[in-house]
Amino acid sequence: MGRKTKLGTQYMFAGIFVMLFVSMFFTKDYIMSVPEQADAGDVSLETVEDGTYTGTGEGFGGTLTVEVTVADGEITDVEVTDHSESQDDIDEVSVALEEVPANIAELNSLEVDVISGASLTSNAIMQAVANALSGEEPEASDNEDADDETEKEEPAIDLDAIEEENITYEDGTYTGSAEGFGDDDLEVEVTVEDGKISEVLITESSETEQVVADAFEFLPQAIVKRNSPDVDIVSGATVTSEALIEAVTNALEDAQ
Amino acid sequence: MNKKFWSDWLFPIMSLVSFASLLAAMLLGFDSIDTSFLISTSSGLLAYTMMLTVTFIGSRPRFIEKHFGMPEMYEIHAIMSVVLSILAAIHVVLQWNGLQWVTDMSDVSQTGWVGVISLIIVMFTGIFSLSAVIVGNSPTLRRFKESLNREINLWLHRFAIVAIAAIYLHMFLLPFLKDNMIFMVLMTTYTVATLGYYFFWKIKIMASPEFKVVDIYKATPSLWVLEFEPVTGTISPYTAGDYFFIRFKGADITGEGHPFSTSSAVTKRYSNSIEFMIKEAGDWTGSLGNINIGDIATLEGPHGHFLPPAVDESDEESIPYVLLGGGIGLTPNLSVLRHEVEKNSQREIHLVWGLAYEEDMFLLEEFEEVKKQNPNFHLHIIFSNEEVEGYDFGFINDEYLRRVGADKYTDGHFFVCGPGPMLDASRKIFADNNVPHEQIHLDDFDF
Repeated sequence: MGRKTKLGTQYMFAGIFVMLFVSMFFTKDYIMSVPEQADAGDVSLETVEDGTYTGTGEGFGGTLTVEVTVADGEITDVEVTDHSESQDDIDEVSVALEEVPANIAELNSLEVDVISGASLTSNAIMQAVANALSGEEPEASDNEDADDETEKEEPAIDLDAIEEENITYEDGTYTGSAEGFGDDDLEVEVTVEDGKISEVLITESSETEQVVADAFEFLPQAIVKRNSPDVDIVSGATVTSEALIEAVTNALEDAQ
Repeated sequence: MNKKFWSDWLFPIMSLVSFASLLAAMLLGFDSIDTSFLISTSSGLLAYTMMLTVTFIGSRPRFIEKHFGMPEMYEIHAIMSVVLSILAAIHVVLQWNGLQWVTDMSDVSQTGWVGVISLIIVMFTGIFSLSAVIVGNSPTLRRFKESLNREINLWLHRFAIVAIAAIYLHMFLLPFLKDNMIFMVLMTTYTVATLGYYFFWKIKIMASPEFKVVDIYKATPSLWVLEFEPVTGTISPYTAGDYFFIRFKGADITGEGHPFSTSSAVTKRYSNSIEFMIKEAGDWTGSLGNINIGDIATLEGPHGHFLPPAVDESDEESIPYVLLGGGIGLTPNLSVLRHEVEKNSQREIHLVWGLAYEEDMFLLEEFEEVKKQNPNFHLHIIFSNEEVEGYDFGFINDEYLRRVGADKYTDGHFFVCGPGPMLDASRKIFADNNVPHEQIHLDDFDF
């Protein structure tokens, strides 16, 4: 190898080394792969009747729902109605949530450019639009069915077995927070009616939703049933369970 | 760390450090990143910082050049340019969205493409016309290079500035970088510093003192001797063997700067003038016949490190000089010789001058004068293309140097200037005889 080729190769490797070094130190969460591009090829716009359709796709933080309006055989409007993509930390996600739906409607195409840095969200939106127009049942309902089944087979918490504690709280709505698994604190809103806990709402969370779904679904119910945060944790979501219990305890401190 | 390491790595390290800081600033704004995005942004960023660095090299920073030498710097310039093109290509491939009609493209894509197209022009002109680093080994490419107009290519090479501006805008418009203050401040600082230095250099050239031609004549059928005197300002202090970029103003010759070694040194004879010897070859040197006494030129320089100060101050008694000149490669050696004469040095000096034809020989009277003043001066002329009575025939090689007594391999300093094959031959002689690196001074005027 000549001197020039050797030097050039060395420069290239030095560049790769610096890239790896810097990205190791400055990235918190490294995702090795990108999910495959949403397959929108099967949906033909010509066969879709005018109307408004709802569909879902799997994004970064969980299921993402869109509402697609079709008029005269063309997509006229796409709106993301529900999503759990974390917007606070990643600006591109906000951009993707705005621009990808706008581009789909503008270009009347199910395949538009992916926003760099928010490829998961971009693909989820395209996937959701394809899902909406495919005429299939929205995936969300499938998921709910699946959840129902697991619940029947092996409930995370046996709600029937919980006995109510005889504690009286002052009526009102209280908020509390605690540090969970995610970057931001977990925040809850606890409503007390007729001296008893009537509702536990999770108002703010950056927990990874797929992992903690059980904890979020069952723990508030269990707390309401027991009329106290003194409940069992959900296995597999220990940190989140404890955070939720702590947040509710924290909220109720003002109610006693 | 030795000098060789720094001459190879100083500029790449500049690129890598600025790249690392930009990448870090960018990643600070992210929680997560995927592989293809990381590779794509990294290749783009590194290509950009390398572009800034090679532009900086192109501005010929004297304070760095005097340590490493211009040909070495331009070699790094060429190698880094190839690397950055590969990186830019990786970036484009990863960002490839299919061929959309230009109007459908985002601002980011449009500015990116302006950058890419400018870069292609810059690369093409650099590789095939301006630099000998890449086409050097292929005769076909060399012929192609000679068929191109260097002036036009030099002008087109300035699209590098357009490429930098377009890519700066390209990054400026990226949605995920818009609010990243640290990144923007760093990127702007690097860009402004580089372009600032470039324009500072251009302005310095425009404002450089004017010189007028006081003498121009043909010393041999293919060799011009030009002597300049300052009109405004003075001659920048230069060392023997340094070179200047000569730009004529208003004369019937293109205005691009061309580098030439001085044949004069700062002596009584050249107290207020500076002399160059230029061989007729190619467009520009071919138009020298159009130059008249009184024409105005600017001289950018001095550049070069043919005669390092430490060597110049070395002991005359014990350190011999061997000056190897191939044809017009005599020029910087003549400058060194005239400098020694001016010092009234009695140093042992061997001037080995390789020439093609008898008609190329001149300056013999001056050499006779030198001999009278310094009995330790020896002149050895050898012809390669025709046999001339009273002179040797052949090429300069180890055997010849030994025969004439110029084989000062252990303690002598060797100054070599000539065409590529001659430099290669002398490198081999020095390697075979283990001549230390510090004792070899090469002037590769082919860059």
